[in-house]
Amino acid sequence: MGVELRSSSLITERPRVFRNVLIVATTLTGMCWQTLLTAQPDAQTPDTLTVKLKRELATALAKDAREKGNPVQGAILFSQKKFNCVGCHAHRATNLLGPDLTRVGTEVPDTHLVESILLPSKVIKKGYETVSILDVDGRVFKGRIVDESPTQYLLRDTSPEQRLVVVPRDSVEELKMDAKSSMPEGLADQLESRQEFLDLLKYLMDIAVSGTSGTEVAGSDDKSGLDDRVQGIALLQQFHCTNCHATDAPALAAKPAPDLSSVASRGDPSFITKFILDPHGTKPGTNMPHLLGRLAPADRQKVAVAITHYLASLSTEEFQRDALEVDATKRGQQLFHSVGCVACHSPLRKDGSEALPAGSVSLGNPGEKYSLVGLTGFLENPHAVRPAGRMPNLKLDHWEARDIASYLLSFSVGDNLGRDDSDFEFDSSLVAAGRMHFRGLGCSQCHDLEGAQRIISATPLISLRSAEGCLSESVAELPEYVLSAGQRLAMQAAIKQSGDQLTNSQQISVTLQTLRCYACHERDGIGGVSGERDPYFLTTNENLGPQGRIPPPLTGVGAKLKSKWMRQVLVSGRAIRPYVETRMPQYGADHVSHLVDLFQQVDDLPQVVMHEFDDPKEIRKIGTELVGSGGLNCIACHTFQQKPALTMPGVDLTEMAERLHKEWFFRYMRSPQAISPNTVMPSFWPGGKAIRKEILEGNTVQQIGAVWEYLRDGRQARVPRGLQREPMELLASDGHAAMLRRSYQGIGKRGIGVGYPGGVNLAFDAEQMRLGMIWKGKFADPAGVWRSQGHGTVRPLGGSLIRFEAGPELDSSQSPWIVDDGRPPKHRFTGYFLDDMDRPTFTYELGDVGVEDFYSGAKSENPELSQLKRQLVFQTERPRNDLAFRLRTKGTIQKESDHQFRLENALLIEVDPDHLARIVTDSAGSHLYIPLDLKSGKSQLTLKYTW
Amino acid sequence: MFVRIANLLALVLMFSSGFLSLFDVSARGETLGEYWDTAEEESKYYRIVEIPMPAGMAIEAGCFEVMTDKQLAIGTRRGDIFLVKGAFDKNPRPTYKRFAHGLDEIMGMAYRDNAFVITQQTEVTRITDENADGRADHFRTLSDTWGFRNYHEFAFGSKPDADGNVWVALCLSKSYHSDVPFRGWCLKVTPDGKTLPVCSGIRSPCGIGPNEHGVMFYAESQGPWNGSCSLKVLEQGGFMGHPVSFNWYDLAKGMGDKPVVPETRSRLMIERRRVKELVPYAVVFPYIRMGRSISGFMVDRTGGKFGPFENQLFVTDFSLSVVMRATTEKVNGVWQGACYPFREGLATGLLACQFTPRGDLIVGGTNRGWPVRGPREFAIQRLDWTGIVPFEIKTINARSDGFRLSFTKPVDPVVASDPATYSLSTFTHVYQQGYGSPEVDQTTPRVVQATVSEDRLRVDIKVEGLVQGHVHEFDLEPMREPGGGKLVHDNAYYTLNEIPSD
Repeated sequence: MGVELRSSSLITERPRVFRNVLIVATTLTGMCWQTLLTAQPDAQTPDTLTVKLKRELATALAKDAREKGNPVQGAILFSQKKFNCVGCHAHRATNLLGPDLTRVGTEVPDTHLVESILLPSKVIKKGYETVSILDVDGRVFKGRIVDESPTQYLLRDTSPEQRLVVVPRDSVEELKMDAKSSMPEGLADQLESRQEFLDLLKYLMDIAVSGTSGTEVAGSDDKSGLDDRVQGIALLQQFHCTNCHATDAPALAAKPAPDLSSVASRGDPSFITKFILDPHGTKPGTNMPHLLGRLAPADRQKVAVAITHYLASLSTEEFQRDALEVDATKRGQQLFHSVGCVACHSPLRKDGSEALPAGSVSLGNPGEKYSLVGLTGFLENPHAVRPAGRMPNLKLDHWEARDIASYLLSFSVGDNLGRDDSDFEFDSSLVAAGRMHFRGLGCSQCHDLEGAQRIISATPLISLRSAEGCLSESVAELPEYVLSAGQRLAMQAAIKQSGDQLTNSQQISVTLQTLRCYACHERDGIGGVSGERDPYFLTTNENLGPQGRIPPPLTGVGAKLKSKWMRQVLVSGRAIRPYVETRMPQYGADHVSHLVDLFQQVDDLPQVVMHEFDDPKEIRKIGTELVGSGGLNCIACHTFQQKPALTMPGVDLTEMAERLHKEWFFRYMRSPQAISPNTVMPSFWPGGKAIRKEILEGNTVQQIGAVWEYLRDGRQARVPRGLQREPMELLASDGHAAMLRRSYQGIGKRGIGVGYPGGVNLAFDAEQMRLGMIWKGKFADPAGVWRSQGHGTVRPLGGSLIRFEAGPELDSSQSPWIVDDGRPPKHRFTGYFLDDMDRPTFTYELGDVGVEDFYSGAKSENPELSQLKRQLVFQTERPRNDLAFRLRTKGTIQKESDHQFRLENALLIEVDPDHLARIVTDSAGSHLYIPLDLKSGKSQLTLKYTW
Repeated sequence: MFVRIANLLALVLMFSSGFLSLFDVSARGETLGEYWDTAEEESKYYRIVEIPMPAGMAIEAGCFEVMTDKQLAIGTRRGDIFLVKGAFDKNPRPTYKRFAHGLDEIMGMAYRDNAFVITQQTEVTRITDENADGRADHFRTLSDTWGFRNYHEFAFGSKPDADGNVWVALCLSKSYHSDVPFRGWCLKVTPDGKTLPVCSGIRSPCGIGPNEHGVMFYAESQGPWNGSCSLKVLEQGGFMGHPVSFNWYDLAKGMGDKPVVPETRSRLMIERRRVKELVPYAVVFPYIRMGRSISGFMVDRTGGKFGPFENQLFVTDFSLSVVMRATTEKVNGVWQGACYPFREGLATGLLACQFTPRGDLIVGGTNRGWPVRGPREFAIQRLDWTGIVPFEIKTINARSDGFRLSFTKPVDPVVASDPATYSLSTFTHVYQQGYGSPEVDQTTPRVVQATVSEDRLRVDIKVEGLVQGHVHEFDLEPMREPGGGKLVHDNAYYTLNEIPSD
């Protein structure tokens, strides 16, 4: 296609970055170690920045930094992935390799900061030495001792992953202190210039004292975990206990059980029989109890088969296995391990076995159970068949669901795979018996089918002796659940207190537990991504650090997010972090919408000092300035109007005010890392003091207020200064011309630009029927007409531009040449047609004379010059000798030979031998005048433009 | 055909008033308004389905055309025509092929007899692929009989009418002036390239096509002489309300003399009597409540595949990224009708919509240039009916003593027969040269009787205090289904130009 579009701003969606999970696991942290390794200078190269800086006096550098350093730029550098400063020096963190730099304090001289970057091993802060431990097995551990007890050391190791390693004291053979700091040498070589070093240094100076004054605490210190009762309630819901044991407590109400009306088309009926016979053996961890215990073993098979036929009678479609595509299973594997499935389910090994069975919701053996269509449909909309909401909707589109389904079905177990159909043959005579058993055994207590009534004959929940019955070790004829001792205790606690009201806070906990929100989100010290699943939480942009991949904590979330926004996230699936590969799933309004009010009630807004302005318009202007590159440069890291910043795609500025409570914003801005320890967002008011002292007199509250007023404009916020845009280029491609009808400078709005392969370009004026300009090299930058409202012009790229003066080229020789740029009265543009290289032949009419105007790039004899060959064809029924063709540029025109004329001392125009051209001077200046003598039929005029 | 226009002031003024003329400079910073807050409920009935685009491709849809049962064509603001296969599939994973490029803001497109007839800013063009290699090679100018000197002089073209004519609505110069011929006019381009004037007085159009009765309408934007966005009928010889385009009557054969210039700061109802050519707006879309720059529209001819709104107009909005409905009727020889909220929460500024052969509604556009709620630079999405009928006000028709309201599902007879269920208020706009208008002359008519039809799908309300010329705003918050279900949207707006005689 004749055009190549080159602009990353055209990219609609960031390409999903899929990586091998294991590789990611080893590269997520510690990037600076690896980049430094490759960045070691060899002897031949010129002096590195570190070497140059070391030649200077530390005092001089510190003084320069104080005076000339730009802390805003420094803050951005500090947060960049390539330096990974935050990886070791996170605010408030105590067990990382490096100290919290906001607690350096005033007693440390500036020169020390200089040296710790340039000569990291000169002085190592006490407690941050690197040790090497040789253990009795001969293994070596290297790292910083972050904690020790009489029995063991806790080491933060210096591997790229920076793992926490426990080394038992009794296994230590030798422990020695390293003289070298774990702070990498040559860090400054990653900087672009001395100025950047000063910027970084100034930022470190500014934040050095901030941590000592901050007293804000994120979350509560209670790490004790969920109480038994909350866990028990979640279990009571999950196991549908109250479907038999009535209760008045709404919090304990059972969640609806799976809808079985089409289960026999989704799942293999043979599997269904097997599952009914032995639920716990077939799918470990299932909520489904074993109900056949009361039957004589000999009868069980018969009953299970009958129930299967009953269920099959309800399905309109037959179970059918489909062939799997290899590519789909591969894509599915990547999706499964990145979109969030493995937050609850176990990651799978190559053979399909579960790598982390403990704490995972077992998948059972999907290949045995599901058809591809069935599982795809289930993954696309899990709540249609599992209305309890626990299996969430991961916002998979149909094709993604199909890929994951293909992957899950690809593990060959037994002889099921490759078989087309189930060996099940439907027998309608078994349906009635199956229906009877389904109801008689109590299946219909949980599964709604055909309107069967639930029978509430069991002991009400509140009167249960909770150590007995279903919860006892031996259930005899009762439904058999497989429960751990802990689960029993929890359920017993919940039953005992089932008459007591739950507090709002407890209600939140119950929901977070029931829906397994805690698998991804931490709230008040409970939950969060576990270390072993951490490698599966991926990002498309590592510059954002852990915050770019780990779901945000929910501690205080009600004080952070406005309720409307929260509802959109929870119920309608709105999301603002496209870089987090794990998706925030949807659980259905019925199961989560109550959280919105609960969070708002439980989480108190922070008490902060805010500022109200008299003139919001004026303050918005200042806010715009602060957000822009001349202020705090928020725009360097934050997405604006869904266009990611070049540095990193931080959360969209134009959605902030819609999401956030103002109070929270004020608190967050003062000390981002105090609230989000994972964030790479630096503070621009370290210790409450403004880095930018010249704006609003350095008043912190007013500055934050000004930014807030700016953000309040939301989608309509003015574009701040410094928004980086990728340049646009429209170029001819190999063998095809590029074209764009639009406004070109010096031409009215009816311009038609053409970029020819080989690097000549022109713009034709389809209002005046003239060649408007020609240039060499690259074709055009369309940004002026493709950005904003399109009020600009297409800008010729390349160079050697020659512009022709206004006025139609072909006109009556009797009348004076029209020299304004208006529309000539008798000319009529009739279009163009393209040859197989997409080169246009323009066509127009002057009265009854038809004109074709074709251009092609030609090779000039002089390789320095370009040539454009122009072939005009005139068609007329009657002979015409009253027309002339004219060309004019602003500059000079000279005759070089009978057929060669030089314009502006640059452009050579060669007229074909059949025409006699001459220079004519009129009141508007000189122009090239070519009289035409058109015979009846077609006549030609050929012109060569060489320049 | 007309005199040469020397416009030496071809300076591009960066006036921001709109594609569609969202607002003028002074109005900058005006909000995009409050959401209806009905998206969550709407999603139960109409799903938003993403039509994915290839990575790296910027497709700013300005118009759509269904070519075959399988193929969609998209004309774009950047001047491309894409042929898309798979966009109609239930789970779209379409393939895109560029058929033509280099055109200028394609804002109207039809495919007839193996040719595209498109309207771009410069002209109406017939485009063909004569060597049949799947890419356009011939571009024949059917008409460029209008001046084009400012980027804001947008041109919106209809699909051909029954006679094959393309109707072109021409935006004013810089959205305030008429500096070159026929800015502010509607012209009709015949299949053989003749250009005929239809009417004057257009301000800033953004959508043109037939209403549900096959009569050509266009979408007008709020601004001078337009108190709010509206649908207007393009009446032959008519005057659409903005007099700055009167200077081209000399060039327009068969259009007669210039109309009388309307008085500013008047009312449309009053000026209609003075200016006989003046065509009143047929359906007013109250500003912000019902869009801020209504754009492309299309009649639902899906035969019920799109739910209960067959033969109604579906109208998109650029600023608010919403889709609305409208119905029209001719009363005493004058077009009028109602508009109703339908679906919000689309991803970008909507410029065009198109029903698919499967009966879904494709919408798309871009958010560049003017403030837009939809956050994405460009997007193509589809509204698919889930098969569940929403409880909605289906239509409102004027009656001599009130209105007839039809519903998509039976109403609760007790609630529906209670006059208190219906709150009515009315307003009109100042008809003026200044930008837009506040809503003025408010009244509160009284519903004195509500009679429910036997099938409970219709209610005739008797109203005391109907005001001719006013927009009648309905609030049916108390309305219920027999099971207690509420209306998805409880507001609707009827523009009562004429009150029917019995």
